[in-house]
Amino acid sequence: MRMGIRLASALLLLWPVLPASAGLWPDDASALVASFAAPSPEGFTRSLVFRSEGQRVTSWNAGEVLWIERSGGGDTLVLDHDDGFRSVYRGIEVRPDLSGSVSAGEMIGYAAGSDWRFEIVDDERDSIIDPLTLLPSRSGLAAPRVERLLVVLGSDRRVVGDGSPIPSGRRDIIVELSGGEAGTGVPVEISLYWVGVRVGGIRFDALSEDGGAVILEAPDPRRFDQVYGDDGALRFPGVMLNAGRGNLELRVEDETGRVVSRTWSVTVSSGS
Amino acid sequence: MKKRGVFLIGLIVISVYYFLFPRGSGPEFVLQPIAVTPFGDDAPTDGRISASAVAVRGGERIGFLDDEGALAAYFRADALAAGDGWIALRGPEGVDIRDADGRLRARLNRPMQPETHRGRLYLGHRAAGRLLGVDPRNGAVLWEREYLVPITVVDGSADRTLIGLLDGRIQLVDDDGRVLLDYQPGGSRLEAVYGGALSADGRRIAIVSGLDPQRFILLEERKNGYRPVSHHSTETDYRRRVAVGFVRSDAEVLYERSDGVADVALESFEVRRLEAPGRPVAWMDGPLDGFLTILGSDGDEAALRMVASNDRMMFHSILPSRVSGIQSVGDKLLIVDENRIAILESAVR
Repeated sequence: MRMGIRLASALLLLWPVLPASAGLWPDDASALVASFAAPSPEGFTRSLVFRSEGQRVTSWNAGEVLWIERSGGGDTLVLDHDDGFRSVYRGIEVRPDLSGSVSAGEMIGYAAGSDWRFEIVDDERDSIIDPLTLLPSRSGLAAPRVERLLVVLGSDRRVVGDGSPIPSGRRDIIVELSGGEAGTGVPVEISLYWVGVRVGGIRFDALSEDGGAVILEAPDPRRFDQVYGDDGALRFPGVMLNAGRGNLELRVEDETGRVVSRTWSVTVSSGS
Repeated sequence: MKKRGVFLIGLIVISVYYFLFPRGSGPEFVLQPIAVTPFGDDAPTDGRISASAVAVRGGERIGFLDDEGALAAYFRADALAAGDGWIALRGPEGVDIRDADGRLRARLNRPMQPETHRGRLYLGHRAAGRLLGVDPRNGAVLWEREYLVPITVVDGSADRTLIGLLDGRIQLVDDDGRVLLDYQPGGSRLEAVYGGALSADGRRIAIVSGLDPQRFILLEERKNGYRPVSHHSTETDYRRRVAVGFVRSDAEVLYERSDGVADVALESFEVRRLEAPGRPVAWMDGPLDGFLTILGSDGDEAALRMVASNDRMMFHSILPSRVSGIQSVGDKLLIVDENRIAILESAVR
């Protein structure tokens, strides 16, 4: 009897940390090597990328097999879930007898190749969403770190905060930050403020399709080259910097909701 | 004595019957082996490949056969495609488009999978929803499309490309990248396109889509665009790619079914069942007019079956399971596996 009460109490205590829609990690979170919407040679990374060492891969949630494509370079499996989501597992070796319904956490195959990819498609919103928003939170992560800001001036790049004034006008600003690697929180929103006014912001939580291309919702649609540029560096394009002296602040929110910020004292001179 | 008389009379009657009404043997279908050409280890390219050389694929190898059936050139790559006088090979850096004699035409810095449909070249990463239309003459990218979901179907003909998607949509794209059709059939509990084909003139589209029920849908180009003209439940629940194709000069559509191959007549939309040997691997018109040849496999062995226009079976043969493709060149039938090309001549005598 006392055992039953203890068990019920434990379940009640744990209930808030086990959200019903969170699903389960399809692989060990420590095997994560790249995060959603990061740059890759193919454009935005649409998935979480896990290191492959032949480990077991499990289903994110209960669902139904919609598609299996077997290929020497790694199979693709798509599961359909009741709540309008579809989960995609690319680069795995799908269990030979898999068909029909799958329960949450069921073994669906083994990781193949050097890495494998996990995507979640929101069929009702017509977008691919960051799986981290639907997975149980990771704990014990270090905060992402803002390394430096660079202002693009013609063919040059000037480090913000080096004492030189920045000419006023619309400027591309490049952000260098760490985060997304193993043990560090993945940045989900980056905002730029000039003298307290928000002059730029990007959210990395959803990709959608627009005119035959995949764009970041951000919340305004942005193509890959508007987010990362040709060189793959993260940038705020065309930030309006009015002349004056003040603080340029970058705020980064990571997957755990933690916000880190860094501020530079900057002089923006009039004229180009 | 009486018994012997009856037997003698019977024999005379049978002899007279056969002399008076001889059984017409009729024309006979003959399939005769001519040559077996092995894919060598080295490319025998000597720079003199005729324009009529035929590209033949066997797994990771493509050879060009000359008029005598000899291998005039040979290429090997983990991903490759070929058309008239050209070949596209994927390497570590991207895709090379070469003449049949090996000369480089163009290099595309995209490490994608080349595929060809009716001589048209595409580079794709289907699982990641990416596809490029490429001009094989010079490597120019005609258009590029990127989707949120995996691409399940690609077919091309005339100046059009059919793209089927796992969210249940099909798109028809022209050579300028314009979307001529964006269609989602609906009508099933789960939407997904599992198979599809475009007719040679680009005016008809056949798809197998959805789950519960899985349906066959035929669209036809009318004055006001493409319209569905026929549909029915396929009574299947495949969760993988389903073979669909137009045959008999676009007069019929075949699609894979668990009990063989369904044959839809486009005049009447009548659906017939064709007996197929295992899961269909390939089908084609030929090698003779009105013939339909189906290669099937059940994993342990492959089988080749030919039917005439009246559905009469003309030929059936069990083949080794490693046979991966068939092709017709004039009245010749090519049977291909990883290591060799068998050339057979067909005739009605």
